[in-house]
Amino acid sequence: MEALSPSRGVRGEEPPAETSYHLGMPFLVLLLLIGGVIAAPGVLLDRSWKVGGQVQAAMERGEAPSNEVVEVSILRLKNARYRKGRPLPEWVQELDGKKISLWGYMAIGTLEGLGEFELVPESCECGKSKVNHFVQVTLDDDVTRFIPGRITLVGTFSCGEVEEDGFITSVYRLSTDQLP
Amino acid sequence: MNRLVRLAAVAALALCPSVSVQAQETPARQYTPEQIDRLIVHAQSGSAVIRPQAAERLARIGKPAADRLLAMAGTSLGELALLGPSLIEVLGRFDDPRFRALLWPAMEDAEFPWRPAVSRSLAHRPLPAEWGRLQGFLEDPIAPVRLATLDALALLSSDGDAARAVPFEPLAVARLTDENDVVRRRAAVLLDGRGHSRALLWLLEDLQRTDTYFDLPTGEAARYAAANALQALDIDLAGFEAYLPPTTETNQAALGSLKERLLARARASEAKLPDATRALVPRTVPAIARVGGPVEGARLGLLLKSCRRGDYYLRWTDDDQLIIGYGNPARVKLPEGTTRRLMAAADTAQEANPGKVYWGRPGCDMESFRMPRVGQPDARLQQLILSKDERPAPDLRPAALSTLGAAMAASIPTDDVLDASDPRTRELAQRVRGAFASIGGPVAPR
Repeated sequence: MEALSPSRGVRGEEPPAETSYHLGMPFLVLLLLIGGVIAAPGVLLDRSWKVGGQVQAAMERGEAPSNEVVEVSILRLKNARYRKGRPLPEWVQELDGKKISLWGYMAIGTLEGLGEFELVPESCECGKSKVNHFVQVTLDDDVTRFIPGRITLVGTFSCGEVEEDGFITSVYRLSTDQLP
Repeated sequence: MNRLVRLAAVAALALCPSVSVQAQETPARQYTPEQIDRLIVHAQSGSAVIRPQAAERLARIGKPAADRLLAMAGTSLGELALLGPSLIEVLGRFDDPRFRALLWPAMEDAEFPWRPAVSRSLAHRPLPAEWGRLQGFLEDPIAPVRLATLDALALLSSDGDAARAVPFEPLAVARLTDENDVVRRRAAVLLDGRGHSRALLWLLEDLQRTDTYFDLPTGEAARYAAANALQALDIDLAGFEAYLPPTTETNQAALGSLKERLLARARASEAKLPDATRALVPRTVPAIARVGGPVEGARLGLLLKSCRRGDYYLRWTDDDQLIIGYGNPARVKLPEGTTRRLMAAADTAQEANPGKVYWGRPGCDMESFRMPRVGQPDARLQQLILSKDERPAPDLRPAALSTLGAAMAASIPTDDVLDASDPRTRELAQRVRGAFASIGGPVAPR
């Protein structure tokens, strides 16, 4: 794949052209104000808009990460409400930075000798993967070998959209030392 | 502050649908042929997660992308297949009859490798004239094809043509006994939309499932799918949590409340239906859609998942039963010693290929054999996998696994012994052999 730039489309693409709404500016401003009033309480009460922010804040406060391992179902992650550009459910955000135990299958086609792979709820995803249907696993002290059965991994979970070249490449990630 | 402004803008747009619609319909930008080609490369050979996103962008570009894809699609099914599933899946969105002319022969070719994508492409905006042609695919061996066909017919039947709206409902009712739970759930939701809310009791059944296919939690997956479907209909789940077993106190209470709600919804909706169609949905959920009992002592498994020939979930147990399907599977008694003989063939297959667990290339067709590890009867089952993409792969399966596959197929009872009314057991041996032949090559005939 080509080199990727995070804020644009395929490299070299121009930003979208201006859109015409055929509406007067004063009306639009009024709508913006109404929208702002409606949205404000939700925004102000939402302490976790920035996914991953909780962990960063905890680190800044000098809090030691908990060693407690939280057991998480990959099916629950897969079925968590996800919409591009919107916050993940609170229970998912609360897992960010935590040590979790997660079962799943290596995606078929996982190459050998790599430092990462996709963990999926069912081994055959048939070449099509929705971004919230897998966990991107990074191996800190190991490389991949294809394991055909169900595996359970323990590692540090992180969540939030990772975008490359305008494509979302992962929402869930797990950093673990090695394969079982 | 920035995020407040951003949210305010979103809320403002949401408050004024006419603005949103016009924004979507306004052509956003011009793409150069090189940019379109780059997106096509992403859609064909990007990672599995990028391919559908790139294809989605091409669909939004419209005619310039359509023209380029049309040139690439060629005139033969072989050339069309090379586009790959992500691109094929969006061809139907271009509203170009030339794409439909390419897609239909692919839909009708059982060996075309991406038929699920073809069916979804055709179903995106089906044409009234395609009603009869589509109807035949409700019995297709591939569940995603049946699902897309059901959606296409539902779309056509709701376009205001009363002459077609009537026959859709019996077609959907027939899918309530589909062998695939995803298809059954979709049929139930579509029927609810037509006033037959009693069909939602099928989803209530799925909420109570705990079945597994070895280590695959098929019941838990069904609970999530059913819960999501009900929530999409704005039905309050009364506190049901899909990730918890249905036997927990809170889930039991929730299931009780939910049953009352669904029955009330069914009564209310049926009261508005004409007498002739009021009882279209059966009063009781059929066995195939009900919660199944546990499967004990499964020692061997064969899972065939094929975009060409459909899916087969088979297990052989210690007490010589063949378990067919998942959920509430069909159970067939086999001659004594069958499983033991198959396990010996499984040992041979492992010994002939020491350390080897995977053959082929990732694709849409897969054979998965589960078996005890040689010399470790109590350890977790070994899994051997063959996978095939769009390219021909003759002799993909090693000889010893073919011998095991042949023995497994031969152990399936003949049709006269099996229940012809159960779609999972109908012509099972023949269909399993067909799937074997399509994926890893033929296994020896009986």
